[in-house]
Amino acid sequence: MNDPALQPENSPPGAKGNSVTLGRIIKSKGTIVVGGFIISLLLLVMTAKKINWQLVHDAFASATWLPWLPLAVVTYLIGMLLRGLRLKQLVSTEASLTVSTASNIIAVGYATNNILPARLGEFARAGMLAERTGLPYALSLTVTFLERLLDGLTILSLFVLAIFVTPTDQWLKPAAMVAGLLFGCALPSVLMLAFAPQLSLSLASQVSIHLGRKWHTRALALVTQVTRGLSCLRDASTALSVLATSFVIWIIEGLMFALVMPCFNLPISLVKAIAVMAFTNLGILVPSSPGYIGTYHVCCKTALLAVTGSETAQVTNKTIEQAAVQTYQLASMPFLSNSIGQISESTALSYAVVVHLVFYTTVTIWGVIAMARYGLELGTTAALAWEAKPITDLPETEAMAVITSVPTQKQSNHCFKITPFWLAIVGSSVPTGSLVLTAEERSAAVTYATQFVCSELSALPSFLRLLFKIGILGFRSITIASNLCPFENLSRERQAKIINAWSYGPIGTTRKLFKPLRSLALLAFFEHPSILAALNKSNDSSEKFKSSTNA
Amino acid sequence: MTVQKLDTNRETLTSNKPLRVQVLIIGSGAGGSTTANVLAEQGFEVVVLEEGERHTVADYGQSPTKAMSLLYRNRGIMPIMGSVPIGYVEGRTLGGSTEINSGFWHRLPPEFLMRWQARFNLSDFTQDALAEHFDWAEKILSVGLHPGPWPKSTEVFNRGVEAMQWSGQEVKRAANGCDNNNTCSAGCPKGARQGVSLKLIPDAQAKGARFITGCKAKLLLKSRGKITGVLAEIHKPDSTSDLVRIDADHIFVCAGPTQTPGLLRKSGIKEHIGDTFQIHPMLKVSALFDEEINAQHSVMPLLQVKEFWPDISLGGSFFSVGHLALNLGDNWLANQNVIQDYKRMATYYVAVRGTGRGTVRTSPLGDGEPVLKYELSDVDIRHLSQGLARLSSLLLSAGAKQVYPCVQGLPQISSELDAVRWLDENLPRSLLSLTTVHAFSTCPIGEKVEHCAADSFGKIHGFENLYVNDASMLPDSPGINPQGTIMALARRNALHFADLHRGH
Repeated sequence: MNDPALQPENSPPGAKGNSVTLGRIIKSKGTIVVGGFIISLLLLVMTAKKINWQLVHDAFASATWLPWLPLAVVTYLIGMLLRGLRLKQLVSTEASLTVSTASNIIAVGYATNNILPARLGEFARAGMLAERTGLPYALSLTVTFLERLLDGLTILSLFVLAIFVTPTDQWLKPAAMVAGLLFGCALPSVLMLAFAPQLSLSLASQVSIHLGRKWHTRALALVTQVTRGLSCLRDASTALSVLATSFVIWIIEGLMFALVMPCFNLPISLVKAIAVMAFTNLGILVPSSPGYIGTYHVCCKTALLAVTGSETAQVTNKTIEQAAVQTYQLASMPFLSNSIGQISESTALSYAVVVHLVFYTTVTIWGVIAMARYGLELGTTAALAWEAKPITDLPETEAMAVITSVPTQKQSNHCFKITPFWLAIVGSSVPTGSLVLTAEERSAAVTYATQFVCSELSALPSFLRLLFKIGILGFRSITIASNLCPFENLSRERQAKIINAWSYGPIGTTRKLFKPLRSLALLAFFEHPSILAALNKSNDSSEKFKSSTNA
Repeated sequence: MTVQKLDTNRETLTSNKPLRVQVLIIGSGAGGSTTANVLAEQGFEVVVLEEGERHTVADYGQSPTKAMSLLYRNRGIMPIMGSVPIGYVEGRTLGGSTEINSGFWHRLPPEFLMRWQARFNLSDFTQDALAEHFDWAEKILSVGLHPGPWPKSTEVFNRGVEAMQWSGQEVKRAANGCDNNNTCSAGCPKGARQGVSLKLIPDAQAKGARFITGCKAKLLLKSRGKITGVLAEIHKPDSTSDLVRIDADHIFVCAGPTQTPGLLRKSGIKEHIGDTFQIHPMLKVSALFDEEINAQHSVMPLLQVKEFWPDISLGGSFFSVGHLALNLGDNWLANQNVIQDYKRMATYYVAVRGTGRGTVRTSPLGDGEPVLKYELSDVDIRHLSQGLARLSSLLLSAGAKQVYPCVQGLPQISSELDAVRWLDENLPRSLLSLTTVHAFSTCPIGEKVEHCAADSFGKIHGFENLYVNDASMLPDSPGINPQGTIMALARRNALHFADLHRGH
């Protein structure tokens, strides 16, 4: 079995590290590596021919570095920490990871990309994630894939938004439309893969079964791996927080681009900087040399010229600015300004060089420090990359029985977890004062019942679980709105009153919402040994029980 | 290509060698295990995929809450949606629902044989033709009457039957050594209740059938009117799952009344699949007596009232303190004191032969779980109301002080006058709490292709090598506990298949 996903889970990553050479990697991805180098070289030559190097020299000589450059570096570092936060969110149900470790893992991946060809940093990152968290490689790979997918979608959407907000060269509009189209196609696909894994598998099977067994197997393996990786998005709160963090990450990245602008006497424009950042990051998807040298510069320079340099952009910028001043009697706000004076290609290139340096140097230094801290060498990192190679390298045995192997989702990943809210709900749904129980016994029974209720609700079919979650969200919102306090913080009497109103009130929907809750809570509560013991006791003195209940 | 005989050991299954089996059976419940047993005996190479795990009697008999997580599909929470949501449970373990049911046993009544034959144009579907299959199943499961004296909950029920002068009978069970330990729904730890994992499956294994547990069929692979194989997910002990492909010459889908249509529909096979979901809606009633019943320590009541059959059946239900609380929950504010008298209580049911309309569809979300829908008909409501009146009258005649139905807003029935009210009035639909453990008819068999999913012997119309052979094939609601009918039909169909394919 060559497929790393099928290797025993506990085989240490990088175990074959020393035997893995850079040459082996380059050989396995030879076309991409060579192509990348050629593209980088061509772009560098083309740029060099057009550039007046004296002007570049002048631009650097007259640049204002302080405080902008340190600010840009700090901003980039904040962005890296946020990337770490997002990685932590993505693996939160599978493993515990601190933000600093997660940021280090990402930095190692980026640094490896800057040093090794063919984006091997992505695989190194997955390998290191597996090594640091104990997650299986297959899952680490899919998490890395998911991060890149989220990045792609976020950048695409920011690019489209920025281009349609700010005036640009005419050619950028069709580019944005293509990007929007890509986004429009990619988003439903990602949503389907995340939320409808069975449907995705069926479709993949139907489409690929005609291509022969080998491609059918590959398609099924790919879909299975991807849907498993995206499964963390099925939890609405995780999905929303991950999505929000992704947008913040790339807006911060845009801010870094914006903070370099004043170095070359360009007014800060966050919108334009985001457009440039998005275009540059989309551009470096093209294979290139390690660190995207050449590709990065050309994309960044071209985008900056497009959002600032064209006659159309100039005219429109002025018109918008004049209109704003006339209408609102406002001086233009420099930070959000749409207006940047026409700049030369040399200045644009200088800008691109500095932005690239900020990104390249910062993350490479961070990555190397992280590698040193974790005792990793470049060779080992390459080995991690090799070990964590993706499923595209599955063995090609035609009659293979095993298509792919993925980590089983943990049973403990319940959608409904024991929280003070659920403890309060269950506690209010079962009797409290009627039985002679110690506080510990009652608490144990309520906790047991809550655990049972949460795990049962988590086992609901997905569509019902969604409906139930919406219902509970409604309950919580209405309770907060009407009591100005979360349900769990209300007095026990008030909680019981609310539960009774929802469970036995005149509205059918609320009764239906609380019926399964009440039924499960009662079932588990009265199966708990302490409650059964108390019932046996009270059975002997039922009159006492009745009077206390009536009281 | 050299074909390797499939070794169903999980470790060797996940190898890179060609796999092909002659007969692949999906599901190991009443239908699947019967099919496996018969076909293995007939000399076919048989492999059975079972989504649940293999358990021994040592795992059985745990508390209801633990059993739900161990042995039940979706941990026992599988609501059927409709204007009245209905609680439904089925097993997910080696042996399927036969491991957690009461073991009550009926033969398909002759009038249903005739009605089904006429309505669905079923071939070779006579009482004589089916008799030998019922005989076989009853022998292998040791079906008979309760071996010891009746438990108290049965005695008081019988008292009511006699007082009302109605026709009632002790129902035979597949539980010849039953010792009243009240664990039917959690698996019998004494091995008295005959789930198919006790004898039928080991017998099939002895004949060469192989069972893979923890293996969920995800998709049938089809090509030009033929099923070529199955994509299945196998859970391994090392917390990983393998997606595997198993090729087969013939495939029997016996995954039960909800999962069989679910798998077929997920695989794009939809013609008359899941369109005619039928159940026996059941209304539970708890009764408080003067005497101690101790239903929590005895087997469920063994009698059924057939006076109003086939539309209405009255009988006894599983009892535990937790279940009693659940049943009283509809009127908990009024009835919470009652639970202290649980030793003097027992639970009974009204079951009606559903005449409403139900469907099984697959959810586009998640793993494509079946979405169950059933809309009670007005006739169902009428029958449930009348059944409640009858059952309450019976229990009050038997000496019950109070009767507590699972109807919100109707906390108790204290007199026969209160009870007979429901002979004329309908229970409020939206306030009913209903359950069911009997579901069927999602892939009805018959030669009427305009109504039926499969032919008279379970072969899916339009496919050369795809069969259904479980509760889903029953063409309509039988009005009785269906396990006997499922096993008899499954054996009949398997033997028919063997006759056609032997020597091929």
